[in-house]
Amino acid sequence: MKLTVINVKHRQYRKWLLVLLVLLIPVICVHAQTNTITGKVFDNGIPLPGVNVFIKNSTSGTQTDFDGNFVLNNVPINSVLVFSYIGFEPQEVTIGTQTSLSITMKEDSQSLEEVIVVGYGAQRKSDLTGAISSISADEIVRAPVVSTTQALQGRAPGVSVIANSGQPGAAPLIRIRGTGTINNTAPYVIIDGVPGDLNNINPSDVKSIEVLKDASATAIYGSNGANGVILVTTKAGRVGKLKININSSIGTRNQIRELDVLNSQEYAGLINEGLTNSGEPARFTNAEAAALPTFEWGTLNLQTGFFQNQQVSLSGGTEKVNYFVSYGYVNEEGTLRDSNFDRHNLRINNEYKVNDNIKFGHRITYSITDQNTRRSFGAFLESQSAINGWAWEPYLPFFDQNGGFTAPVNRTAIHPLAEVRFDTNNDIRRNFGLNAYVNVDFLKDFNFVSTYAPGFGTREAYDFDLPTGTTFAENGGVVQNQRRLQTRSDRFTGYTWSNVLTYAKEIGRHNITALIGHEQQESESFISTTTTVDIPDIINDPDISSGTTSAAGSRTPLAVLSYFSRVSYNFADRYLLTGTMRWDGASVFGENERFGRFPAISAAWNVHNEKFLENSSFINQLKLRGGYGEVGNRNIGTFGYLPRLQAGPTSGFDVVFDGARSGGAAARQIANQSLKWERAVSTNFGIDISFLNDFSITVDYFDKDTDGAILPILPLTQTSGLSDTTNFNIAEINNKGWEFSVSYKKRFGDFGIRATGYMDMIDNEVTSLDRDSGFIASGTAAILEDFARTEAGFPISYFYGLQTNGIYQNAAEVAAGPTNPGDQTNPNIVNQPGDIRYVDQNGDNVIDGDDRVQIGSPHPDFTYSINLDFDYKQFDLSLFFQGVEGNDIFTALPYFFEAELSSNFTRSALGRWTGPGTSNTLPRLTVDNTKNVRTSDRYVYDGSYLRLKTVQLGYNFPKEVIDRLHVDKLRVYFSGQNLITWDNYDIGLDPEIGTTFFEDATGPNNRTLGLDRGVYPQPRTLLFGINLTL
Amino acid sequence: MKKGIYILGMLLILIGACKSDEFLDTTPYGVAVDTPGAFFRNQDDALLAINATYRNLRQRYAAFAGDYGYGNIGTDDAWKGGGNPADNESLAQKENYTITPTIGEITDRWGQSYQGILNANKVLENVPGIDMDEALKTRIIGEAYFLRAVYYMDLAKWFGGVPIYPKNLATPAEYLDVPRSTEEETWAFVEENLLEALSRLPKKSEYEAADIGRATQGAALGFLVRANALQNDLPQVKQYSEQLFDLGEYSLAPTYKEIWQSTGENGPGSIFEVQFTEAGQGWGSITLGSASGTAFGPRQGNDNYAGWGFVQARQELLDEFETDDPRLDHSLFFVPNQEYGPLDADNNAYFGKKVAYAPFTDYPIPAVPTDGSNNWRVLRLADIYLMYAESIYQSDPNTAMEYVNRIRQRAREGNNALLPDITGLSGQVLLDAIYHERRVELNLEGLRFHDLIRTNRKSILEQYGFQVGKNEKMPIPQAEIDNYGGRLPQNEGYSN
Repeated sequence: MKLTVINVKHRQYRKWLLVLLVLLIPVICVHAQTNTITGKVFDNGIPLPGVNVFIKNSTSGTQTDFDGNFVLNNVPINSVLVFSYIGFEPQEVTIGTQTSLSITMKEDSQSLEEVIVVGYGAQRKSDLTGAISSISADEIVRAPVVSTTQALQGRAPGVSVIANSGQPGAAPLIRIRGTGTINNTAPYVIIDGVPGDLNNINPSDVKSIEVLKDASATAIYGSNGANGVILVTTKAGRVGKLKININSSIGTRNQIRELDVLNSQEYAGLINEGLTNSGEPARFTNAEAAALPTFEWGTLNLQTGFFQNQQVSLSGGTEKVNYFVSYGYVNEEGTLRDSNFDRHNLRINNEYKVNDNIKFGHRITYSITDQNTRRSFGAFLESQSAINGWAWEPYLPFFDQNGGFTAPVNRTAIHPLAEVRFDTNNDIRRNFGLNAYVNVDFLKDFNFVSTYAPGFGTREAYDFDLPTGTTFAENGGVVQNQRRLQTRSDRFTGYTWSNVLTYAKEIGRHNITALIGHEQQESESFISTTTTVDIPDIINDPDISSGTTSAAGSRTPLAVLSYFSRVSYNFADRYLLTGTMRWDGASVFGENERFGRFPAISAAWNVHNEKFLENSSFINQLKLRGGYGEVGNRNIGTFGYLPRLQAGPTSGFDVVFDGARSGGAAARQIANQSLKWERAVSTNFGIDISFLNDFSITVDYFDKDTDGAILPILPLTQTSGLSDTTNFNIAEINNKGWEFSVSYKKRFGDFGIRATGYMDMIDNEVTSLDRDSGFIASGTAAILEDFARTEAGFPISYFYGLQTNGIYQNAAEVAAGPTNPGDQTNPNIVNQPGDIRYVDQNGDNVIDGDDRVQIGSPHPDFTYSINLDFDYKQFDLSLFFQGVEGNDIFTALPYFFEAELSSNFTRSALGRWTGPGTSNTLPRLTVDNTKNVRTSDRYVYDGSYLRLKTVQLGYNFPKEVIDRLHVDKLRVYFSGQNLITWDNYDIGLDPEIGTTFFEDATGPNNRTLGLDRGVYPQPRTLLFGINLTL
Repeated sequence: MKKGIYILGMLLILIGACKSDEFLDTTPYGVAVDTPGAFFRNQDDALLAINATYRNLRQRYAAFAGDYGYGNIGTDDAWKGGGNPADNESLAQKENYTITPTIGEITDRWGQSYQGILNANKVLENVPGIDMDEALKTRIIGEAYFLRAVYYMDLAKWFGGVPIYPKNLATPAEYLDVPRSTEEETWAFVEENLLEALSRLPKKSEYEAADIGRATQGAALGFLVRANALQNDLPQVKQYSEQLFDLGEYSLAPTYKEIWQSTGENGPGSIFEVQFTEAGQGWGSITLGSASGTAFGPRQGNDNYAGWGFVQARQELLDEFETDDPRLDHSLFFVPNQEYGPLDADNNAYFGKKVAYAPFTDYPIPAVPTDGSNNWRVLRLADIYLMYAESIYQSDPNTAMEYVNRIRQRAREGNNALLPDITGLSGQVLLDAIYHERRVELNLEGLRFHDLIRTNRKSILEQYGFQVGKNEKMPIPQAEIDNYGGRLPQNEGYSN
């Protein structure tokens, strides 16, 4: 009785949801009949609706209903019932006298072979000829992360995902097959056939992700293919009853490491020592030092961040309509106070079948993200919230007698709490997208798909801050008149329209698929930015009318027109050949360079389908692949080809007459009207082997040459009167490497295991850099500058500086060594015992810029990941390890925490040189440390690490329980992220370092890789989640 | 039938999308295009082009790169100052003459002059063909000659002989084929251009108020005086000075103090000024102001001021003033306890009022530190008087003394107990009196360095590390030496 009540309630609930749903989706119902044989059809324990059930050799039959039930009339005794459903093996059951059946369908071995989404179509995995990695929904949701990009980390060889910051909502750096350009290396992201943003997509909505890596696979995307292409397919409803999926998790985030800084007595000791070494009086007497209290500044702005991720989706469908509706809410707090992120995602994917040949559908998405960030942008301590606090003098109390913020001693710094209170950096983005399509099958072999996808997005940023260098007045207050408000408002509108006509024909053992297509995109972005200064103290939360405001902005249209074609030929599933061609025209180039042609060809041989292997009990699959293609990169700004005349107030050419502005106009650069795409030419060879049913191995070798990489080139001479750079297609970059993936899958009764491992080794080299100076210097950290170089014959952005060779232990060693001017304006400073011995590379007995050499590389020798999944009865456990090996980090932390007397030290500084034999790595402490802090390998650390990225332990409630609860599935899980890290980077907070945002640029830049100026570290996450299917 | 419709429909879609040319022509918003026919179409374009030619003067005198730094530092008039001895590498190297060819000051000075020359040449090549008001056309061409002369004069003064481009060349590569001219040739080109300018430019009084600040006949003559003084060609100094006096356009401002106030800008004694104003529109290149007041103002002592502390007067300059000379107080102000002040052990410092904001002048402190509205007084009548006096001190000592005394009379502000007229002097004594008056009257106006060189008093500079035969000129920027690949010889004494 009780059960019935629950049942009724449960049904009412479902009906109520259905009513809601009907508001969104027209549902066309299917009626079931009633008769003598009844039964239920399952797939893996879950009722399977829409299964065809018919009596063999007759015309009478039916379909299973929403709950997998069927009822069939007039079934003769001893007749055979046939169950069929797309994607499953047909099953025949001989009926005796039974009237009730329970059938479990088995997946079709043919369809077990995954269907892989390729550009503008899909192929069976066995038909692939290019290098494509596929990532399933299962793998994506298993990582307890909120962004789809993060979820890709370690999931495919050759795909590198590195967190740029532990800031909630921060977009990671993603690269496919190395750094192919000095410019934008972001892969092209296609969501359900149209370009999109991977960071906007809710991981729970993803059905699968394919990563197209080599040019033969990406050439169908032509000018967008050079950085690789990521294809995201979102979920769709399946025929069947309404299925409600709820995934809810909550958890906490904590900082993994803290810096081990000195207590006040140790600090006073080092300060006194440094002052004494410099001939200055000590600051603290022994008695004073002993009496100093110690305050823990470093943790002042830390917190335990709360995390929640709530996902609900409704899906189902009938013969005529299917639907998938989802809503997701994520709220993440960072490990630094007042840094957080939240996101709402809504998605409605519907498809309507007009008849057997025509269907149309739409995918509607809306997302809102709201991010509050802490400082993480500048060269110095005070602009890096993650480490700022640790550097504070440990004996200072947090507040002065009046309750004001304590001021630092003899330096400028921002109080960690003042920064939390006065520094606001808020960024809100909203994105709406529609993807509407019609799909027509006709003339038996033809298919036509037209997709129209308009979208718009907005971004509003409000950044109210204390400028770097703000000092605090005596009363502990902030110098209010230095406050600055910066706002940014973006609006983006655009559409993509594509039309693809496909012809597929099987003639005997010849199988041919051909497509031609057209695509056009138009978009426009409006950006306006304002800066407000002179804000009166009385206004705590200013707007742009609160002071003196200047504005800037832009309106940037873009149009792209493309035609493409692909022909695939397959003979007897043995010999495969694919050719593609794309013509792209883009408005960003001059008239003569607008259209580019991007061809590719690839072939594969399914050796296992040859007679001599057909019956092999060892080899299940053996496939050889090879491909060649040319692709482009057009992420290079717009209208770069135009000969520009600078005019208007921001041109700098205005002058003053009679105290008023008078307009001027002139050119600052020569034009390069033949600016065109960066072009990558790549070859790929691969082999896929599976054997003994349980093992599979894929190995790929690739060689990718980026030709005509765009570089800004200064005018040939200043006497020409030109001052600004012009972009030319002149650099060449090569990436080559190996990718391996190995997997093992086996079931031993109740125990199942699945193990996969990925590894890639990529060798990056700039092969030509046609620039006068021969290199591009970049990088700023603390007082260190230009420590990264991009130069022919070296990897992009390698580390460059002086090489150290220990510490001078005594006067004799100093006398034997070269002079070290250190500071050109003070040439007379001489080395003393305890100073760093730099290597005099050119033997001229002077340490200067000419002695600089390569001191490291941010590029790893190899990256790897290991996935281990186990299940035993109701339990499942997965472990995911991810690592990089052989890369270096250039870190400013030794400068901040081992060299600077004005702020606190890490414990490692206690190992400094204090006399002969005391240290051969850390120099003596001095006030003027110029000589010992020169750009050198002192700042280069091993960046290798291995991380236990994810552990997840799940429990599936058994059938008895879920039946009683009237749910289809109930799983609870515990998950942890970044639980254990093995690394040698003990000076910093986190060895996982991506790119650094340049202060003057809008995005990550390949010219500063692997730089740690006090990165916001990755958090350790612990969470508990429930997965419920109704 | 049905099939036919499908196929037709699809072909239409594919073909309909083929009009590619129009589709791909998107509008480059905010971009003005510099192609033949798109610019220099009319009078307005001509004005835009000539205005832009003034821009490098504004850039030059907006901060460190102006003569306030390089003309004063390294002489007996001024310390470098700043936050510490190493603060600002370019200025530090000038202070002790360890100048290297890679510092920004050298590179900027060179590059900005040639930017101005490029734009002057564009005007000279394109404006004559424009159908426009003839008087305006003549004036604009005159301004272009004037500015081209000013930029080449700056190059000749600091670098010596340089490559001369009387016309713009078609490609940057062709510029590399033009060798360095001699210093004499460069000066000759400067004078030639000033004379071309002189024949075309209006007088100061002939300009509308809105054009105050443009080149004038007086400015062309004034620069001819200065150019000849720098070449030590005294007869020419005399001749052009007298031509300038004959214009009847200029007189000494009634008081010394008013020259350095906002109300004194472009006053009766002003021959040429670089014009600045506070754009009041926040940060960025939108500013039309000068950073001088901030760069050369005190770091400590006034929170609102928040200067950077560069260029502090030396004791030798303070000592040069006669007792109670009111010009000391109008030119310099004392601020104690700077972060770095080499004057004395207490880090006290004297800064110049000639570039200062309130309360030291009536110029307001700008909202953005680099956006001060102080004009830079490039050439004043008093300067011409004193150069004129130098040119005739032997031939006509009485007239020479008369011109010196005009300056002293104004300086004493009616208090006859001060600064008595000089009388009865001649020869070296008179010349020294002229030099003395020049140093005091034009203190910290960026002239001292070249005054000492052109009058061969280099020994005064040698105590600071100045090397005779080398430091008269700056090194050519290393980047340019590299660009020219051996075709551009470096100046004497500077290694590559």
